[in-house]
Amino acid sequence: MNETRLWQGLLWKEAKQVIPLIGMLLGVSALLFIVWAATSRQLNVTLQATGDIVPLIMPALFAAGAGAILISHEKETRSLNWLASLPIPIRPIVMTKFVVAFAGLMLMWLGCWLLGILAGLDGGNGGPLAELKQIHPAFWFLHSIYVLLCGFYTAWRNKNAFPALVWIIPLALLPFLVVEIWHAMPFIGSSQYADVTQKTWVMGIVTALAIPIAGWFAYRAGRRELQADEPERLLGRDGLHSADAWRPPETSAPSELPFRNSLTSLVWQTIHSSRWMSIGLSVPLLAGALAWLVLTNHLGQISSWLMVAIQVSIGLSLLAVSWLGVAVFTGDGSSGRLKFLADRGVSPHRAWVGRHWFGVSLLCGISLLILVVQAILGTPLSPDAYDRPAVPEVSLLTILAVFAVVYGVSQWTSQLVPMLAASAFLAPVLSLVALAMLINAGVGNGVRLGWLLLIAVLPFAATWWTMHDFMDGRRGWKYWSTMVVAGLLFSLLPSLPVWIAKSQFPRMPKERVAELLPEARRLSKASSMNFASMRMGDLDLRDDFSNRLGEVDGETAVQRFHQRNYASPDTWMVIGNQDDTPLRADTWIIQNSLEMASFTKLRWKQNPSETSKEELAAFIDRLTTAARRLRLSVRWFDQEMADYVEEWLVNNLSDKAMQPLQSEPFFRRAAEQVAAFDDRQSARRRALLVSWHVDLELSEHSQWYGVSANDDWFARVPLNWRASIMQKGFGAVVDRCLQIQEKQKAGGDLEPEFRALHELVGRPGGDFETGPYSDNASSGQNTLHPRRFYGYPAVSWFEPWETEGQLIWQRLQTKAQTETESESNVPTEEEVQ
Amino acid sequence: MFFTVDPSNGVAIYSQIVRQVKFAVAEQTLRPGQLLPSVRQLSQQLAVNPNTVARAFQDLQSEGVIETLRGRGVVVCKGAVERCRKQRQSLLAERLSAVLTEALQAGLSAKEVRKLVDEQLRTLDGTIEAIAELQ
Amino acid sequence: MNPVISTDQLTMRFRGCDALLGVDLTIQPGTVFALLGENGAGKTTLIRILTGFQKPTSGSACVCDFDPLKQPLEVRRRVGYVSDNPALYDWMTVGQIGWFTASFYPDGFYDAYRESVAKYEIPEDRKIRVLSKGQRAKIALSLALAHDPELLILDEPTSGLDPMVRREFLESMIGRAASGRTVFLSSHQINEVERVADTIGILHNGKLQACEPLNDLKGSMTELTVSLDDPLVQVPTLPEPAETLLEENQGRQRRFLVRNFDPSMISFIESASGVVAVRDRTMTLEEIFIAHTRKGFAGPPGPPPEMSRGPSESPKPSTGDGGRESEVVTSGEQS
Repeated sequence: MNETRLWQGLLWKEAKQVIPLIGMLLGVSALLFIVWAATSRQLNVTLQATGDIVPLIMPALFAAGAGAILISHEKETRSLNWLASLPIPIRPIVMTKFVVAFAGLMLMWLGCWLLGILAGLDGGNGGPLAELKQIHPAFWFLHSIYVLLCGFYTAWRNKNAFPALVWIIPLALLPFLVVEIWHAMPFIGSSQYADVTQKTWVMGIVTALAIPIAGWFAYRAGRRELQADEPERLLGRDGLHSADAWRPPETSAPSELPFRNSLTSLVWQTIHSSRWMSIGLSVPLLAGALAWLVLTNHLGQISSWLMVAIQVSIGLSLLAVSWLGVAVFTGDGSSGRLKFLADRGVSPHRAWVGRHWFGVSLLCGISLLILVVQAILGTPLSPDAYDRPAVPEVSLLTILAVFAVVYGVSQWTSQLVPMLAASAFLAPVLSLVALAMLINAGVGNGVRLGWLLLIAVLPFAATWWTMHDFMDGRRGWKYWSTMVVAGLLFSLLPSLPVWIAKSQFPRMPKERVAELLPEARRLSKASSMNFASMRMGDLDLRDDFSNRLGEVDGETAVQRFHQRNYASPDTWMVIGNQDDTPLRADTWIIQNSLEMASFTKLRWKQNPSETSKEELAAFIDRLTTAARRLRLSVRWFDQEMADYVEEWLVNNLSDKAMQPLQSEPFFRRAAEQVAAFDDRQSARRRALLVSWHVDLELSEHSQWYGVSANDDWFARVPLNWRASIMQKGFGAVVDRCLQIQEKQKAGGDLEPEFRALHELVGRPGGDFETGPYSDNASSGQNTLHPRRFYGYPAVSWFEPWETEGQLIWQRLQTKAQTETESESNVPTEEEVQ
Repeated sequence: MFFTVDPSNGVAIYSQIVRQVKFAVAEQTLRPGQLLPSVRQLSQQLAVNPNTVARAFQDLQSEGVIETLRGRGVVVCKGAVERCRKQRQSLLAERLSAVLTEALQAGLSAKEVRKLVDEQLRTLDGTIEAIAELQ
Repeated sequence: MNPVISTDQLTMRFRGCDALLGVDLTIQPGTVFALLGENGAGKTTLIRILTGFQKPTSGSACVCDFDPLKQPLEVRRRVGYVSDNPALYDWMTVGQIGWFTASFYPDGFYDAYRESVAKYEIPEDRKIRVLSKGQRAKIALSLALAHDPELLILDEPTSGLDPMVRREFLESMIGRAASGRTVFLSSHQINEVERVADTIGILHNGKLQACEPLNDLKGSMTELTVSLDDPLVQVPTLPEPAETLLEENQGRQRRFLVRNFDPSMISFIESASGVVAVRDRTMTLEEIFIAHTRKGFAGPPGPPPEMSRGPSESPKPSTGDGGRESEVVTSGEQS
């Protein structure tokens, strides 16, 4: 017998058996990467950070599943028995399995690494999985080899695949446990001060040591399995110990009479078909519940190590939930075995309920446990307001919903995919993706909870519907179509409300677009995009900016301090002297300047000297120029700021105390500016149209012209899709503002229009009465009211100040006329004299 | 020729084969010098153990019905016909004896038995063709 | 020549029952050995021990001059094994499984296999999972025979197969025997066994109740039906070497299964008073088998009883037997 030929034959067989698993896992990871990369812009940061874990999960799943596919499957189909009847020495059989699995694992790592590079994953800091990510990937690589060997060991030792899979979990956690114990030992030092890198090193060493040990155990288990069975050890009469007297007689049936309710029998069957499995699934759930309770109730800082342990427990408990779902339709729930019930006329729906009973009651039990413990413990209070538990408690409904989604998708997967080794891995992945998708829809997209719960019920409904066919082993078109439809609905329905809301979102109607676009284009071409910004004067105490920040030469500082002139507008608003360049507004500078101008006016009122008058004049002149140049800008925001300035001017010019200054040229200039009603309207219109047009043209929404997602508009729209409707919304707002303008020209009642605008922009300030568009708002008499609303359009439009401005000008005109008339009359007086 | 073997009729398979060969020779279905199938062939044809066939052939050989020819196989002996006829007669005598014993045990007297035999012979006479004497 | 299979006091005990209790078996080369037994009698256990899959509780075995425990590989090289409902790799095609298995045998395996498959007219590119049951059995047989093993072990290979396939299996068994190889057959098809077996073994209650050439076995067992004119008449004990193994009563008739019966004993029985008639009949193998496996049957004397759970009882055996102990029957009844 040819040695090479022997290895060749065995390697070929093992490779052919393991390739489907590799292919499926790589395919699923590629799919996940594609989905993640395509939606990464819209996903929030948490999900992005989670995406980095995916390249680590896939090889781990492969490592755990290789044993199931290569060994448990062969055991279940009894082909291992046949193989053992051939003259093959034991060593090649066991070793080829390992060699092929190892090669597959390397392939998975390589593939995921490549995929990770392609999708552009980076380390990414922060996020809820920060601690896990700090552990270097090299450790995970070692760990995956270790898990592979543990998987082989458990697969050789166990008759069925499922217990083998479940037993991998505690073995895989062993290195973590060892390190924890190691660090807890008094001579090593406190674990709280050991950082993750150190621990990773220790874990790495422990795992590296554990690998050959696990390998040896796996090899031995394989050998023992393939060797001749040992005869059972039977006890003779002398072998009986006292314990046997207490042992109850072995009965194979649980009670003399069958259970009264057939559902109870089904539950009994689920629990006892593999007792270890039932235990193996309940224990991680309890551990996860415990971890959750610690997380939500522990006051004070949790050491990063404990955090890792908690996260791992919670992760494992979710895995256990998923595997509970998988267990529903595998093993005794597989279609071949259920046929036993079908042949006896058990209704498919009863069988469905019976299969689900155990899992559902376990999950409900765990949730209730969490609820009860939380109720007993109460909300953790601490005198220190900053000392909060890491995660707030969540309601029973939330916990149940999470369980329901994970469990539901898993049981759907397990009915769909008959092979256990495949569904045991596909199910956790799919259910986590489903959970992430639903959470994203709920939290980020604003989909209602009721809708999401309805979607969560879908997988259950699907399996309920197909139960009949499944039990008969009929996978015809009806079965597949139901499953496919359910899958599609599940993926698409969460986005449905979003699509509906987006399509219903107010926008500029098409006719209006057609109407306004040519005008906007024309105006856009005609306007200049140059601008000047306003800035503050030089208030810096440093003479020379080469000094390091914070270091000021005392003498120079005092000098410059004295040089400051607070009464000059040049300190507060510097706008340059290019009179025809549009100006860009800066809210803070304008606010400060207006306050300073008011102060100057006050000074003049108190002490009407020439200097104070000139200071006031300078300010008002500056403000007038600013207003004029702001009007030249094509940004709608600058128009609003111009309104602000002009409103201040109107209020102050109409002040009785300012009457004596009416004849001053600065007064005149200011009055002229505030009276230019029509210019104002056309400037506003032009600014709105050009802003809207430029926004349309720009590929990315820019803050300069339109509005960005970070503004407060449309605050009720969930953040996830706010950016996509920004432009639409802006168009609607522009439309509405222009309509207000046109209606005002036509002379109608503007309040309903303003109410509509208020609704459109997302109801700033709450009710209309407390919002910017009502008469109570800050655009009233007191322009310096702290509740002024910035960033909204048409805040001060058509308020009394506009007409007041015109009146001021008219009064000035008449006064000037009377003056010229009286001047011309003056010589008459002289003549009289 | 066609053999029929019934494993469960109480008679050993090898003796069934022997008997059938002898009868065939007696009826001249198997002629002297005719080749019989080999042990292997016959055992596969009949689906019986080759040792059984081998034993049958051995018995036939020891009784001089067949002989082995080197290179050719097993053939019927020249003087086998006469021997087989005689054997057939003795076999028939055995069967007759069994029937008669049964009749006598049933309580029939010898006279009644003879009457039965005569009746039967009369019914059968002329209906069975005797095998013509051949060379 | 060394026997192909020989076992020495092979014992295998399980927790629920005792499968084998001191089995001594010797099989000569070039014969067809058939092992008969009820379901669960221990036939498969015996085969598993012979192929080195199970370590016996005590005793030893020797197959093709090798100990299956110490050198299982050598044993398997010389043995071809076909089980009932063989578990082949479903995903492989017919050709692939032949190529795969050929890796473990010397050259020539693959060609012989392909020849055999062609003879059975099974296309080589068909996957095993779509083959019918009979075709799978033929594939398994081809795989087992392609390396021309000295010993062919068949464990109920034709259960559930149609007569055509069974016939083909028979023919290959006969072919092997004709080429001087040995066949070990465990089967329930008693009519097939009757045709093809040289030696018969009957396994019952963990013991080999009979292990002799077929003809001897069949020839040695006679069914005696004695008609009496009074149900209470005592039938005289048969003289040596005849032994009565089983006795049944039904009204005025009594039936005896007798070993080593001589026709001359008929007159001895008839001479007894009250005996009306005696009829004897040779039994078929099936009847012999059923008789051996019926309760109340007094089999051959076995080894001294071992200490197992509880005391052993031995009910009085049938009349006319001289009170021989039959532990065999009772220990089976104790589980």
